[in-house]
Amino acid sequence: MKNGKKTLAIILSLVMCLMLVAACAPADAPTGQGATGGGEAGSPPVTQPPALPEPPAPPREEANLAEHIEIILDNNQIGVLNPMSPASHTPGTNQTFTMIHDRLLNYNIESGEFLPALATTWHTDDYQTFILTLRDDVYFHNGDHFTAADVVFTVNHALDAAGTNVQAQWSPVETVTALDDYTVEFVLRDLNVDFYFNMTMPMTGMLNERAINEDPDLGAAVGTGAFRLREFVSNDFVTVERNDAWWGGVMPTQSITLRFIPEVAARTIMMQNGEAQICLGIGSEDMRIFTDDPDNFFITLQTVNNPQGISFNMANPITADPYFRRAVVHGINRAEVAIVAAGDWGLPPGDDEGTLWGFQTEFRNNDLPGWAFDQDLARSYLERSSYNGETVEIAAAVITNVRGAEVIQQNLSRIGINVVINQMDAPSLAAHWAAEDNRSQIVFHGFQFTLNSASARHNFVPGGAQNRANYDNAEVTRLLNEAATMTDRDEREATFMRVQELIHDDLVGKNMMWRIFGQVAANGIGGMYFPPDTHWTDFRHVYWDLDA
Amino acid sequence: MIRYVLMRILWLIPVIILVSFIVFALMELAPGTILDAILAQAEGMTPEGREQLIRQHNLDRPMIYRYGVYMLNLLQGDLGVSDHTGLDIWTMFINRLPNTLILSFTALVIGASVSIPLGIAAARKAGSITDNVIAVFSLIGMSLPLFWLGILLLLLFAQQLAWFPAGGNNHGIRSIILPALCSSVGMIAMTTRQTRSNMLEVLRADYLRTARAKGVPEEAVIRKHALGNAWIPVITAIGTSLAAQLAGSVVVETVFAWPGIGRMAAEAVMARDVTATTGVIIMTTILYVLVQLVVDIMYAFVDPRIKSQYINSVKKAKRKKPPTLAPAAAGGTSK
Repeated sequence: MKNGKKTLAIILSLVMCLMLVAACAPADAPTGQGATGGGEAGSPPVTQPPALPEPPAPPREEANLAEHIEIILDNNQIGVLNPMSPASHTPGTNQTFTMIHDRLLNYNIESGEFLPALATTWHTDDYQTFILTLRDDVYFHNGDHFTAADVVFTVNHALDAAGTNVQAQWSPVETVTALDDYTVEFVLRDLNVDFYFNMTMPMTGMLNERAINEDPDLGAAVGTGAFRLREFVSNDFVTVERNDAWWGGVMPTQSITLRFIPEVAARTIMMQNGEAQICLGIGSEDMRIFTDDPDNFFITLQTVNNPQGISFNMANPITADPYFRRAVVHGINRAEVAIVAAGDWGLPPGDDEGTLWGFQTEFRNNDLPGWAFDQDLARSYLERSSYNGETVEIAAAVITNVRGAEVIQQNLSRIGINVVINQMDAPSLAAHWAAEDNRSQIVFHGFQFTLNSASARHNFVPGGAQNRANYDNAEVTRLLNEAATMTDRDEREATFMRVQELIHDDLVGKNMMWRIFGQVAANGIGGMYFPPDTHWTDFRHVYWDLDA
Repeated sequence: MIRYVLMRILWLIPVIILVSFIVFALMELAPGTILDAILAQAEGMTPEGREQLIRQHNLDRPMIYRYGVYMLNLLQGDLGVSDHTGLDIWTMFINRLPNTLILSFTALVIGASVSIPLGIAAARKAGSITDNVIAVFSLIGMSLPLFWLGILLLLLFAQQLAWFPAGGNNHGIRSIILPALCSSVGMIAMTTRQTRSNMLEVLRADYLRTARAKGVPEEAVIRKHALGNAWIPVITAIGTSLAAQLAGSVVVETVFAWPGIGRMAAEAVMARDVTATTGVIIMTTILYVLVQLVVDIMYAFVDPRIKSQYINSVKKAKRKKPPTLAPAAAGGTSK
């Protein structure tokens, strides 16, 4: 009996091990290098602006199109379908808004031109009073006719929506008036050349007053867009169905579901099993499963507009020392940071890249000298600084940034800087980094830029939502404020170039990597539009050609 | 019995007050507020917008004030709206509850139908190889981290065999199998051990030896005489497991993208949504207490001795009760 027990124990252990190995093995062993960005560790590739994606091509005329498409969202769940809620700030929510709402203007990110949408003409003489003429053939999903009164309602409603991005977009408005059913006039408090751009943001879609009064929770999802809401479960999924009466034409797919799947392994398996046709959040470790299966899948890549990097706490005695900041940036191997933090999906900035600006944000200054990785130079700066061996804290929230912080910790220890990492979740980081309670010297985070250079204000103006450095340079603030009033494009460009120079000289922070987002799609999927700025991701034209 | 049930339900009131206060206090101690959660994702929040949010959520007031406002609303049966989404918390909870109920009861059915026969078999063949195998699997079941087990189940049954979907609840009954299986593993392990030890105790009892001596077949001994007395601790174990699952299995619901109340609670905490977190926890506390109450009531049906205890306690209480008749009537009675 004793021997029997031993044998049984051994057999059970072996069975467990075999189960573990069998379950963990990929369907096909990955081979070769996947179609991914980045380069080998230690040899940073030269940063090149990515080719902007072509506008989606329509399906073949004889295509056998699927009626329904499932899209898996990454960690950007949709908590609410109301742009007037602060919970609506996720990319997934913006992608849904793009499908169910229409904005007054569209934006061509390739040419920088504004395009007609609900407004057919737009005019201003002084960038303070704007007059827009609206389409007269637009209807809300509940059948109500869209008129200038809806614009007035939407804007006034947004101005009351505390703490939301939509409030920020419309905040320059002093008054909005319906001159007649199809003409609307905006008067701004101050001259503002960014106002047209604000009108193109996805959260600025037009809302229906009756729908909101009838259903405060879901009434804001009644728009004029190419798709109408069919079903929504907060933080789980949203299904939209085609609006055949849309003024812009009929979209190729009958219905689309955007589903939030928290677990990365489940997303991968859902794609493999055909439970979904597009996935926005495949882990870099799993991406090779798909690159090695070109018969069934393809991958689209884009470099995210927001730099991921460090901000120095300019209010802290250690990091307020410019020599110390120089020691830090010269002491960090950014290629190593990018590889360790994001694997193939991190692109290190080149040594000649000195600006701290969005990847595709307008007026990017590419002439500023970079901060080369040179630990001898870093040591010499450190000797000139007032640093006395104190422990320097790096705060980080998301896991890629924590990994990056660990590399920085190792790099800086080699030049004699003691670093500890304080890992926390995003709300804790925001609280931790509040100006009045600022305990870390460095934070590893994502800077937030749109394609519009005015978005630099969020990062570099006192009180800006993403000003993690507590940066307060009066000249930068003045220039950024004045830029909003400059109607001359050259003058505006020169101003933003100068702002970047000042930020560079102050060395407020340094981008450590550009994130590359990869989307997996089943073969036959077309019509996706993934620009570098996720505000303009567009699924309206998505189709699935079953015969492709 | 009714008096006992009412007493248990009344006990919910201090429990809710205590639980809600603890949740409020813990959320206050946690770093960050709803404002920070919003700021973490905000792009262009204006300073005015920030001030508006602070006033809107009473963040400029002490915690005790916010707690008072919350409790006043709760007294009127209003769980409030989510600080983060602005959605009605009761509606959010009711939308998620069916998913959690389906998951919990399916796990219960799987768990009970596997663990009880296994426990009986292990007890009947105590010390045998069957008993040892069951013991090893019970030990493994209790030790496995649910997160790891969930991923393994996904890889095996969804990826390799493609028998079940990997995530969501949009494939009917096929969607429920893997999360329920994952949820039930711990219950199976615990209840199997519980059933085995109770059965072993009962099987050695004198009255069963007598039954066997009288020639009662072994199957009848087990079914009619042993099981009835072994039930109570098993019901306790199953009831506790069910109550815990109803309170939300965050890990299982996250791995399998199951939109239940566990995930709702986790999302509320991550968003520093004090109102939603407190609301969900109050509701799950009520569920927990009610399930435990049902379990207690079931004891009476399973074991007549307990039922008679209830009845006796009520009779005693009635005897101790002072007379409540009117003075004249009372006087008449004394004569």
